[in-house]
Amino acid sequence: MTDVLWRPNQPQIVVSVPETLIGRKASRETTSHRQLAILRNQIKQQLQLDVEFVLIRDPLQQHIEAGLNALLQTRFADQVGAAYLSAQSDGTYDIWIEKTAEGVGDLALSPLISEALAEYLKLIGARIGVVRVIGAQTKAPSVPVILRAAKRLAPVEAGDLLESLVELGFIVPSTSWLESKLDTLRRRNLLIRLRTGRYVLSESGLSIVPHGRARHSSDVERALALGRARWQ
Amino acid sequence: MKRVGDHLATEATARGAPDEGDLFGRSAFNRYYYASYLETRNLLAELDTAWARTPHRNIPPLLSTTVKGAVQAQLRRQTGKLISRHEAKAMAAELNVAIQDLASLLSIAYLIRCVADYEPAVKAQKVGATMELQNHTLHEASGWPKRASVHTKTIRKIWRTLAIS
Repeated sequence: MTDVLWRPNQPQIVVSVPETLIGRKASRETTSHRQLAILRNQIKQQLQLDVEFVLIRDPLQQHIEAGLNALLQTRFADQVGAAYLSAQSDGTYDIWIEKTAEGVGDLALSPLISEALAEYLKLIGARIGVVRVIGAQTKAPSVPVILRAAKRLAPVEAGDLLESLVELGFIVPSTSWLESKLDTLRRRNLLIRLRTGRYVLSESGLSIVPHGRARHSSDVERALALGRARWQ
Repeated sequence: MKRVGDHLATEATARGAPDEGDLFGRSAFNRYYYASYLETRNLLAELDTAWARTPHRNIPPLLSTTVKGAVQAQLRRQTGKLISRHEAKAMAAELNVAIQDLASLLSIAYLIRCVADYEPAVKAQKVGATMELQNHTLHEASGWPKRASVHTKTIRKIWRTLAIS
């Protein structure tokens, strides 16, 4: 552990444990989630203290991250808001780049930034892993989003589905793009294309769309959409 | 909220009297915590309105168990049918890092905020150009809101990609 936080007169302690010290099994060098859980229960029983083990990043990683941010802020302040590192078990570092409002238009990294990232990690003897750019939400709807929208509106034509997705704020490249996605879902037996050209979900399709009893459930959305359609 | 925290942090380090530095400094810790908390609460409200009322202390376990569990269940259900194995693996890795880091950040920040607000006997000390409370500096705390924002964006993106709600 690297740090213990407590509140005087309160039976609560927060213990920071570097994530690099957590192994699958406890050993001389590492502890495990199971061992921490046992320790937590024993402390609770014997000392009546609530212990929370918090996994933190390696302090060295935090220094490397600070250096990376300084580099990016010096050279690419107009494009990059912040960068975060995540050490991987294969010795590489995944990098998360948050773009500024001005730089967010293009979610791809400029070659200059990619080069700077690779050079920086090379200087400290590390390798670059996956670089993820965080910015505007993904504009094109994912396949699960398309299937969920189809469930809500079924039986639905591709054109109406496209309109609905656009209303939800997605950018659909073209009708043919959407039709190709629908066709893929049809080939996977998740959608059925009726003779009228409309789409409905198959039993497998219905079982795969997230559902439940919450207000945002796809079942509730479907019921509301049916109600609206009846009164229109 | 973050701007107020920055202002208080600047005031805290600029004040000559240790007591005044302590007062401004601990208020800055409070503001930085709340900026991070509100980011997270907004996310939780979007994912499930009931989660927005979760007590502060219970948010880290809610993230690490309930939210993570809900996404993992969908990943299992959709892999190979709606999303590829590669996509699922990448999303799971991204989710793990984001949730673990956000939960850890909130646990630590919440406890420091409680000390700052309710334990006046534990003083914030001036260390170099910053203030320190329970071994955590204002410089570090000023990064909490941004860090929380990045992680909430990641979790939101994955949640929406899987069309969970």
